[in-house]
Amino acid sequence: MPAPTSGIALFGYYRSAVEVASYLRTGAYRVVIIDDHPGNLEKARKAGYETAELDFRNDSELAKLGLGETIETIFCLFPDDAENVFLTLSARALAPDIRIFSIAHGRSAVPNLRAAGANKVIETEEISGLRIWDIITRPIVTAILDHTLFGQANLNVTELQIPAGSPFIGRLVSELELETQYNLILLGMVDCKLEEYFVYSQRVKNTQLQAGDFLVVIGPRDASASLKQDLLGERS
Amino acid sequence: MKLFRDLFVRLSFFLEASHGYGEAKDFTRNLLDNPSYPYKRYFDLGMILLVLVSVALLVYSVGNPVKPWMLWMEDFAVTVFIAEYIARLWIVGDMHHTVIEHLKQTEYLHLPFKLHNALFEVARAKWKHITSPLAIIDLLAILPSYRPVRLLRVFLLFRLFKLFRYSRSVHGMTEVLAERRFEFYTLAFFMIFVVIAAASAIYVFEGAMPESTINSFFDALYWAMVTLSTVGYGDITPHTPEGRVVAIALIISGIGVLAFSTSIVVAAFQEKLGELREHRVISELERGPRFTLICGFGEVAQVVASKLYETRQRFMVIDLDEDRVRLATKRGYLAMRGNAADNELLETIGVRDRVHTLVCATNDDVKNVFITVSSRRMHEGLRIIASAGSKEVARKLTLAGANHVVSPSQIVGHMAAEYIGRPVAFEAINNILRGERDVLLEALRVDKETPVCGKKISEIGFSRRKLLLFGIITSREWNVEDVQNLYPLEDEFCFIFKPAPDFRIEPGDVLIIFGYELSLVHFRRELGAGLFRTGLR
Repeated sequence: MPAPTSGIALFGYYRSAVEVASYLRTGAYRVVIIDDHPGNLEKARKAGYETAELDFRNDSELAKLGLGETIETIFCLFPDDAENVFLTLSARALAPDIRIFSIAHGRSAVPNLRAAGANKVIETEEISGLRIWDIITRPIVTAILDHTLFGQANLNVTELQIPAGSPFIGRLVSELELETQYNLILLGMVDCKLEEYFVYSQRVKNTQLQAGDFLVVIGPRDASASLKQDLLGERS
Repeated sequence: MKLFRDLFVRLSFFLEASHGYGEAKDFTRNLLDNPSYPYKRYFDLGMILLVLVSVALLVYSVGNPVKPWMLWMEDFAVTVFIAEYIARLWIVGDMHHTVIEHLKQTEYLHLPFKLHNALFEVARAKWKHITSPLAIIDLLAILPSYRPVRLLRVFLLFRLFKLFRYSRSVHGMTEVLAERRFEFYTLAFFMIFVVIAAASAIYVFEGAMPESTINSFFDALYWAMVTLSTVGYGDITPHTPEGRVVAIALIISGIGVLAFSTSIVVAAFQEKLGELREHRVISELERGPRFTLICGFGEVAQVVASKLYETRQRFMVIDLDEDRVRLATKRGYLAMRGNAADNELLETIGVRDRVHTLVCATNDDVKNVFITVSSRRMHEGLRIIASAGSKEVARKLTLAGANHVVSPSQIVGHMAAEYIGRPVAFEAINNILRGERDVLLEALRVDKETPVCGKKISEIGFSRRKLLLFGIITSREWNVEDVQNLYPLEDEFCFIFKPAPDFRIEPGDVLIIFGYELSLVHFRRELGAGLFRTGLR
């Protein structure tokens, strides 16, 4: 599981990129917007982003960006699926460890992007359609998720990694008593021994905590903050 | 005169105030003219039967002795027809209403009230009805029963034309043909010209010949018509070479006329086929419960439609593009070609009362805003979900009255941020949302009869059932200081995250439960009726 990155490159400053960039701006990331269309770059510059003009079809130009070194994640946000596949393939060849997030505009493009080496593919139209369907069929759950999981209220989903040397290492998950001690609900965890596979909470009660495991908890912000401190062993 | 006028005005006010009169009139109107009125179907069916029986009796009576019950039957049919005729005349306009309106207007303008003005207006409306083709057919169906005009018995067959009134498909067909009036006129003009020319020619050549079978101009006309139509009985045939030349010319133009008329009819139906299908779609939706309307059939709408189809919910798709409509029809959806920005169309489909959710997902933001505004105006309580191209449009759609706005690019942005910030949680939430790996987040409403009702949370044993109680939505009054983790939602609802073990569940509460599908299904079954996947209302 790679750690959060500092350098992020956004390819193609179109509708999706505008939104992605504005969300990423709130985090402490270095965001570079890359496009070969001067008009798009001009817009990005006006919005206050760092930009770079280069042709992604040219490998030597891509290599100059420092993929895998200063840039650890790239977003392929072209409206054309073929361009995204091309970019993913080139980037993966240049930097095997880079994280690649790509959008797709049709179900048929998803396997192509995965084969090209994308870590995460989001199908824009399908995800919107599913959301509309959610609103139609289960409005409550959707509202709750909007209010809580996506951070509109104080409730939040947080992931916490057990650091090496944490006092919790070796204890069972149930011994943490997250619900009563911390006012948190455990959604699940990633057991680093189990090949980074997410396991939901009902099946992890008797799992022993290891350094490197991830806990995913839901609860008020301060509650998860205090759990984080305890994991580090900073609080007595 | 004045007395008569006052009496009339008083009667008008009496009728206006009378509840029963208004109701009776509304009922008659619905029965005769409102296609969505449920009992109209039975009425129409009854009338069709009556027409068929009375015509069958007429045909039977030609060669057979008439039995008394047949006469009764005939009398009954005529009585019903007369009653229907009078009822139809009655429901045209409202006399008392017109009189009162006139009275009000003249009082407002300080003019003398003239009763005959009002009556004239009513009479004009009624006369317009009387002279309409369908009303004339109705009248012709009744008249022949009057003995002195028994000669007109053949008009009884007009009763068959009455069927037009009661069958929508027949009605549709005549409408289609009526729209081709111009072509038919041209054709008729051409045909009359050819027939008269040919008839004159043959009459001139052969009319005076002793061996000819053409003895009059009418014979010539008859021959020309029979030849032109390619029927060719052969009872009258030309005998001279000149006559045969006329016949050849007539046969050639006859083929042309036939081909032309066939093509008119075919083209008319081809063009209207879609419309006839739309009628079918709409009438199918008029029956049964309310439905979801999807405007636009782009990629987003296709996902929504396929999900709704999978879960067997009623919905309908409209799109301007022929290919997309064909695609939707091919997938088995109810679909229709049309401009969703057309208010009239929205109204015909039933946005006012038949639609519960409107998904506004055309690829054009401007159009989406327009549709949202007009459908919100039509129906205050309609749930409108609109898709937006950008954040600014999303704001406009909310202003226009959309309950929910979904913007594909915004969702991508959100997911990208989640992916960067907390990849593990992102995967987990995403899987729950998609219902992948059998993990679900479900809302279950607690009703009075439910076993969990009135119990404490600790008594239910969620963890024993391998379920996670994420929280409870309630509309009860809470003191913010008393309850931990209380979050207000829309309206009077609030969400209690991770309620305390001694929290008592009451009817109306909605449990938000998270777990594997297996445990959820088991929990639902064990607690029986009263737990639903549900919306807040």
